[in-house]
Amino acid sequence: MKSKAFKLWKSVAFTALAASAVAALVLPSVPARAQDKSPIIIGMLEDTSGGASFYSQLTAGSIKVAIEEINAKGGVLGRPLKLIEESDGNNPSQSPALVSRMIQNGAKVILLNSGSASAVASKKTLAEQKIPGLAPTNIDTRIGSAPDNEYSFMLPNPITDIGTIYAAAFQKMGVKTLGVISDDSPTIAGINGLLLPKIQAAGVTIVAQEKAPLDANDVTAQILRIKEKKPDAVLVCSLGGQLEVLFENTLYQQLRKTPRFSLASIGNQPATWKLAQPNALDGLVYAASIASNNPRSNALSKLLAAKQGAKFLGLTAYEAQGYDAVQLVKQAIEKAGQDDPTLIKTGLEHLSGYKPSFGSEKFTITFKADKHIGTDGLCGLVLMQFKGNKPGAPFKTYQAACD
Amino acid sequence: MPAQLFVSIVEIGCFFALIALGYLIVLYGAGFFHFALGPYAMFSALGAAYWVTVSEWPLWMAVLAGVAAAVGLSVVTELLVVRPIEKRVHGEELPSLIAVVATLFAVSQAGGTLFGRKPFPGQPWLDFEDPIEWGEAVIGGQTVIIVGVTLAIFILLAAWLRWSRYGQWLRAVGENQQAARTLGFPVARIRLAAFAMGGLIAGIAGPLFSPKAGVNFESGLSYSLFGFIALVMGGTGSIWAPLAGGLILAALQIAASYLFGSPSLNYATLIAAALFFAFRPEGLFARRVRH
Amino acid sequence: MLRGGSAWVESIVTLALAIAAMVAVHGSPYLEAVALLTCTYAFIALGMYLPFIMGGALSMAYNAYLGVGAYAMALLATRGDWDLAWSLPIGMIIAAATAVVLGFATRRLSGFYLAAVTLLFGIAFTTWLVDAESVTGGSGGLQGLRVPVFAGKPLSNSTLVMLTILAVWIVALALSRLRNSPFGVAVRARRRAAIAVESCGIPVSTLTLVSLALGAAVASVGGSLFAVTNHAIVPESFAVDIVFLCIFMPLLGGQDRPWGAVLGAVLVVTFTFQLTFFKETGSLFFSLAVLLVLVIAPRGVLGYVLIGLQKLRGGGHAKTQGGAARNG
Repeated sequence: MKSKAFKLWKSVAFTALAASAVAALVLPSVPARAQDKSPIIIGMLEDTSGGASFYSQLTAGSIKVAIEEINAKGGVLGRPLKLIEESDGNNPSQSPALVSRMIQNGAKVILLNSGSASAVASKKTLAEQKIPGLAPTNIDTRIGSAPDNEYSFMLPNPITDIGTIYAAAFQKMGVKTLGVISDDSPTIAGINGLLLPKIQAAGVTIVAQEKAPLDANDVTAQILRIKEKKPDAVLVCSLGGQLEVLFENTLYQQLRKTPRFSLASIGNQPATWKLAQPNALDGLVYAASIASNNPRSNALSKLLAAKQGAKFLGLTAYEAQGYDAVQLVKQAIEKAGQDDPTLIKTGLEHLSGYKPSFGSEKFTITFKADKHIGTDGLCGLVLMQFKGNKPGAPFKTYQAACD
Repeated sequence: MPAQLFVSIVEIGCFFALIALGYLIVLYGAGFFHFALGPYAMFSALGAAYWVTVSEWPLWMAVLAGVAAAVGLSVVTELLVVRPIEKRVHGEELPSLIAVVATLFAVSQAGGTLFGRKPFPGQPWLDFEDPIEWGEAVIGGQTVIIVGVTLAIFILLAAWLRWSRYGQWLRAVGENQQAARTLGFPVARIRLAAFAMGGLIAGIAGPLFSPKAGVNFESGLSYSLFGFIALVMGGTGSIWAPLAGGLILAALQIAASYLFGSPSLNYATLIAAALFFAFRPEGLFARRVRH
Repeated sequence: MLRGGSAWVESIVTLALAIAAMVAVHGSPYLEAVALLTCTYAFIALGMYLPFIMGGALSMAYNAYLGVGAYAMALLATRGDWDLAWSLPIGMIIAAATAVVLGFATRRLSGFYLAAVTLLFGIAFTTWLVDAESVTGGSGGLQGLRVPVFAGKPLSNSTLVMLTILAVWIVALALSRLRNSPFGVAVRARRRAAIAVESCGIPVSTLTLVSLALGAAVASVGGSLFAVTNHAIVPESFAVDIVFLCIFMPLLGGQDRPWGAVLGAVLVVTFTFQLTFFKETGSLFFSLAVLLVLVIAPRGVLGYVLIGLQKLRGGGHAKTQGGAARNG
């Protein structure tokens, strides 16, 4: 039998808990203290725990370096930039609410740094609340396309461009049949929906298409099913990370002689290369974005090596695009003259000929009122091939025509 | 079926078998289905991976720490959660079930908070530069370790049950705690030993298996669930029953994936579990009552 | 037992709280989003309340009922002009039917076996959502859902919020009345003494099936709401780990009344979403709180608040409903 005092204490404690829970739910978060130079707030939607965390955190790192650099030089319009973050765990159902929360907390621009599906899900929220959003690394074409794209922008070459390049490469190699293995994330589903038809339109037949859940611990069955159809080449469509390592290990074991292609995932995630079994990545072709002749890439590489020390494993598309996104936002704010979101959006739409730190030397980024996908042409993409478990040289068989 | 699939079946089957073995020990000693074993395996694996990768400990130290953590969690669960609730409800099953499910969730969240929510790769205990080729199949170093350690654990446990004092008590107590108490058995200590042993087995199983495809803080649920199914399929009649159950469940899952595509793994598990529960809930190796 | 007077008090106090909530969130898009999320969880928790808390029948397939409600609503929204007035009940019926089939198939199972099978069913359901691309849109889910229409008029967000809070209040009140009706008493008795119930001429399995069906229907409303507010749904949102929250909400909030389930929903959203201090550790605190409740404070938050109120009113040694913790 518990004593009456204990029961009374419990009642008081629980009532307090219930009351504070309700209060916390309803009261808005404490507003920032007003300063002479109040910061311009940029919101970042990211993934710190889900399937996109492998690359989201690479991008986040360079975004923060870029902001630091800008603030050290006096900020934008004399005001510092402040970054607020929310993670949606790569679950696009949560993205709209988290974007709303950042807007509520004063964000004037949103950097969409989670998976593609999260960016697509956020479009409507951005359009409704008239806050511009820029996706630095997501390649789903829908992000920059109608409907509801009035306030959403994307920086990299969309997946349809990768489709064009791969279709041309397959044609040159004489690949007629393709086996595809994917993960079951919403992002890859969206990407496959845009990529595979483009490859099929170029005359390639997809003879096997297999899926594995993100937490799969064995993919032998799926790979063997692909093996039985004897495709000319295999395409791995994955977010990267652990699962793609598992795909590549098993493909190397079972289909060593078949040419393998990846998207822009594992090739751009240096931390995963050592997780693969010895030599398992040898010969894998992937879409990189860093060309050796781009001086801005080299400069950024040096900056990140200095700031991040041993954690920096080499420049990839993710870091370059994150850095460029911040620079583009800075220029848009300067064009706008103040931190009004609609003016910032118009500012973005007047950015033309920006020279990014990815892609080949003469490659440019342009936004217009009817062009919310920044890339001017295919030269943001370079096909690279692994030698052993490290990237070797550009893919000799085919490259998009660039200067 | 291609030979490589048998390698996968053995690897996965051994893992399920170990979790099921943990269930069996706790069932013998406390009459309780320890649904939280999966997260203990996860916690041990995730912790070991974290300590090797981030804290840069040597592998053996990280694994030992993981195992110790799993044992500790299991013992704490018995002392702070299961025992007080069972004392309060005297035989009603539902509150204990809810409590162990809550523990499952809490341990998973604790793992995610302590070690982060990103997936971690496992650390192989043994790596062959040139894996063994057996016909068309390729056998890596960790596979050999998995089989070896699993067999060792089963053999050692069988010996412990037969020849050690606590082991013999464990077999005697089983589900009838009241009778055991009347006969003078130290039921509380036996329960504790059972929970500790279950945690130990799960704690070893986690880092053993995680090199295959990594581990993340949410892995514990499916470990628990499939380990439970493996236990039911194998039955409780023999210490080796969980091994049979584990291999059968793994074979079922892999065969279904291969023959019908990846989603059928979960459909096949559901159907098989439903059939076993309905028609043969005592499993393949049923406990024979001796007169 | 509720005396006549306290039934009115309950209705009025809770209605006042509901109206206060509507006023507090009006005008802020973010607070409205939080309110809708809380209501979604509240429906799930209330769906759990009837069969599980009252009847002791634990089914862990709640993510399936949620998913059914959400996908039914989403498919009707993307395939043609739809009106909440008739697309909502369709989801409820399918969810109820699923619960009945599952409940019937598992009627001889109990405890851990029942939990395992229903959990497997929940996992299989999510797998099916990803697998059946032609119906469900596969892993990409369903996107671009249109603005909902109710009784012929497009529904603005603010109206939706008010309607939803009102709906939660109605459902919780109905469950509270049901609890004291002959049906409710039979369900609660089934949990403690199935044989006694059978001997009164009420077949236990029918009782369980009906309560499971009602619970599933209520939960599916939460799923439908989720689809309406998000304009997009993906299978990941209906993974089995949502089942844990379903169970814990009524437990933490308080088992004695359905309002405990609603309070549980508020606590969940606060812990895991709103309190930025906790960030990602909110779920951990929440799960530890649940364990604490189970071990030392089985009546949940609401239970102790009510005891406190009774003491303030000078209730003295009023015997609390059934005394022990397991009373629903």
